[in-house]
Amino acid sequence: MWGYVTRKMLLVLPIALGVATLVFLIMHMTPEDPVLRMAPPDASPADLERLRDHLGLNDPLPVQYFRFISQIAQGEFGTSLRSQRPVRDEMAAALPHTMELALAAVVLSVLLGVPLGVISATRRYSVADYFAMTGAFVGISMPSFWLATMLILLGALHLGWFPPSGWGGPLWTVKGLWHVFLPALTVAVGAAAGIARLTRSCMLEVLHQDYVQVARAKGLNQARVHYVHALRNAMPPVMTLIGLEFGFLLGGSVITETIFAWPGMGRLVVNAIILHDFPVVQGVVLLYAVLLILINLVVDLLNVTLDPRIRYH
Amino acid sequence: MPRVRLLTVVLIVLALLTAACGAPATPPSQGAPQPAASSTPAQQPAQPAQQPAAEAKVRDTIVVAYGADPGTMDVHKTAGPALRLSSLVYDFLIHYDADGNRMPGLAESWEVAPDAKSYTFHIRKGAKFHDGTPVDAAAVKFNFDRQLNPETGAQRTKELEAKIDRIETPDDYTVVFYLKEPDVAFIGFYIGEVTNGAIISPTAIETYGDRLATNPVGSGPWRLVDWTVGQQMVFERNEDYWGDLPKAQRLVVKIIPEQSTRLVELETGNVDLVEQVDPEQISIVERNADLQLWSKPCTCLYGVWFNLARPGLDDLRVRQAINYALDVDGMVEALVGDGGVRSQGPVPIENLGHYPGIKETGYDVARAEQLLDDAGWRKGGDGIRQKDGVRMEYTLLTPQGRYVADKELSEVTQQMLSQIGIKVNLQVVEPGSIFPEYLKGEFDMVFIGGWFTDPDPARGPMYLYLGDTIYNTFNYRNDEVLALFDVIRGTGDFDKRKVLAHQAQQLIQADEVAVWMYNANILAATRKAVQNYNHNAIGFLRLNDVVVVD
Repeated sequence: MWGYVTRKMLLVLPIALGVATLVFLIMHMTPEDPVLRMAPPDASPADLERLRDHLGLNDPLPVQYFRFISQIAQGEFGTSLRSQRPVRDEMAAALPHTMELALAAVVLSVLLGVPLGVISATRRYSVADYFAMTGAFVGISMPSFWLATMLILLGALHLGWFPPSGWGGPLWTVKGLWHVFLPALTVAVGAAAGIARLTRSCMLEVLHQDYVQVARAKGLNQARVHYVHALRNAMPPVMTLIGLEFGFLLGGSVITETIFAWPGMGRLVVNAIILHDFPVVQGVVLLYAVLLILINLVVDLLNVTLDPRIRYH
Repeated sequence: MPRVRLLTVVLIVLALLTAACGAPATPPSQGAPQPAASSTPAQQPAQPAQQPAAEAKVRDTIVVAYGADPGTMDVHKTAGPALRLSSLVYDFLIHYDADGNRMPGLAESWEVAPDAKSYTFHIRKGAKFHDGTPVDAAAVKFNFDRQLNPETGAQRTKELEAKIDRIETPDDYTVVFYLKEPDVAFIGFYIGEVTNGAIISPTAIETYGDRLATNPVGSGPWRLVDWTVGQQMVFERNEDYWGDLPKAQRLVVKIIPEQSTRLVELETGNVDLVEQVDPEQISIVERNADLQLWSKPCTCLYGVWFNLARPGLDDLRVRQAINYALDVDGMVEALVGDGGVRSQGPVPIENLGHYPGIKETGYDVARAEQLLDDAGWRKGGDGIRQKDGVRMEYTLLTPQGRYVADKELSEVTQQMLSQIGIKVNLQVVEPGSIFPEYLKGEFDMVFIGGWFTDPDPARGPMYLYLGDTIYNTFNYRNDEVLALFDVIRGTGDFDKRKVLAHQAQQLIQADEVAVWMYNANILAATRKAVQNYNHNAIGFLRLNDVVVVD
């Protein structure tokens, strides 16, 4: 068990190095020159050259690469070309907000998805099942940019129940929850749909097993059988999916963050990509890679506690 | 599982679905039909009916929605969105009014030498930075010395180095810039608002070092009191401001990147002013009785430019023919609409040196055909003109969604040119790619344009027509124009400069180096409750006079 954890943790290093190398190469192979974005409109070619020199962009690629890797090894992600602020600070400001949004979205999607899946499975081929699964299908298919706009128009403009955009405060405050609801719902709908479908199929498998029959035969009530006995065994794949969703949400809610003016990592990285702000892009992608590895590890461990039969060696 | 719970879940799902699907029908149906008189929208919005009456409640906070976090407010070191916000915190030696005329800023008055080789600024007495440091000649010199110092990493170091011979302060309130070469564009590029020439407190520069980026200290009408990166900036009125005190006490700049969200924030009243509005959103603003649209053409110019090195396009008659074959008036009216105004000639109308008497080519298809025939381009069997075995077939490089109606105008150009036997192949690129593609110069024609903040006759997009900048990928070179520009550069007298600029425009027009189409409108939207908004097309944000009346 601990051996597994240690090995996974050790894997972080080579994976991070690989990701760093890839990002570095991709960013430097793109045709657009970051200097053009930064230079004044009437700069002469000589000015551009000097700016490139100043930023170290004229050094041979290997030199730039090793400078990059050695900085990262010291926890130094460099300075944003745009804001001149340390990339570390920029990420430190954005990451908590993204995590809040991801957390709220995951909670919402579990609250929506798991019960829907259970209902669908326990009442297979009933009207409720069709409703839930059609709903899930629609949920998966809805593009987030559209859903986000619709939620703003409905929830903020017409009903006036929620603020249209912005971060309101930490999650444990009422204002924070009030602000996070619409963006979290936007992200949660798609995730909930996936969770509902997986929960349904996992539940169906479990419901036919003998121990469920035994539980029923013991005279336990239906709800207890379904939600305690069956669901627990159906959960590991769902947990894995939830974990993946969480990881995905940390990086994937770019559109939602932009539309809701949510000050998170997605916006940071998109702005950085548009402006060819190499250091920020590199830093963010690297951080994602490490985060994803860690989240996967946590999910694995959670599954062990859920299902004692699972063993990692 | 109890039936009640099942029902609740189904209801939640249903509610979700209706929430998502029912919404699109609602927003457009809201509000009154578009007013008939929308063809001249808010060109100069009438001052909202009544000035704040005695009983009207004036709000003490203005809330502005802005598209991007400036990242740094150390405006010597950035070319980004900070420059548009810099006039809030900082003063410049020279300010602008809403029409782009130069106004006294920290310089109460200034003189340009007749040969444009030296600039003398007389600094206003009694102005103070937010930290109490007095604004004087030494402070101004300190700021430019900082920009000149390569260690600073300032945006303009190399350019200033190339321009400035020395800076002298003959007394405490006079600064003289001696240039190496005559240059009338000096103020427009380095001194005026929206340049990097903001005057920052020397004390703050020394105290904060790199942390100046988030601790801007200027002498401007607002001081920054709180800044949550990516979310909002909070300003308070500078009670010691030398000019008109801002009417409001606080200013909140909310960072909202998505334009539709900005507009919803405005509609719900969370925001008083939206600083950027897209042409597609004009109708939403106009339909809403609570909102006011502000529109002003900028000193910018968009259209289809020729690569003069390509066969056919190197011939003046062919370029003339293309201009004759295009009904630009109709195209701009139909496709650009309220997003811009029809341009006149090679310089934006808003440029102070624009020549109103410029003679444009006009629309005359018969004339176009005649010109092409005369130039030796005859229609072949497939309807495409050719000459000496070369078919008249051109690529038109165009962005989609970067400028107002860019791809649409290119498509109509393609169709109209096919009628006179010129085959145009569109090469559509995404918005971010047009600029680098154009700089490569591998096009026959390109849809592009530019925005030029300072409207001095010496600027405008004229440098596009000059021989040796990286921007002249059109291969246009007219020695007469170049010679004229050398004279303009060294002409300190505004009126003389303007006359010379008029001559240059006529020469460029006669060369037909492009199909100039429109000057885009800079659009903003406010709540009707907002009064005295100083909407300008230069790009600075000045909110001193703004009051929000409930």
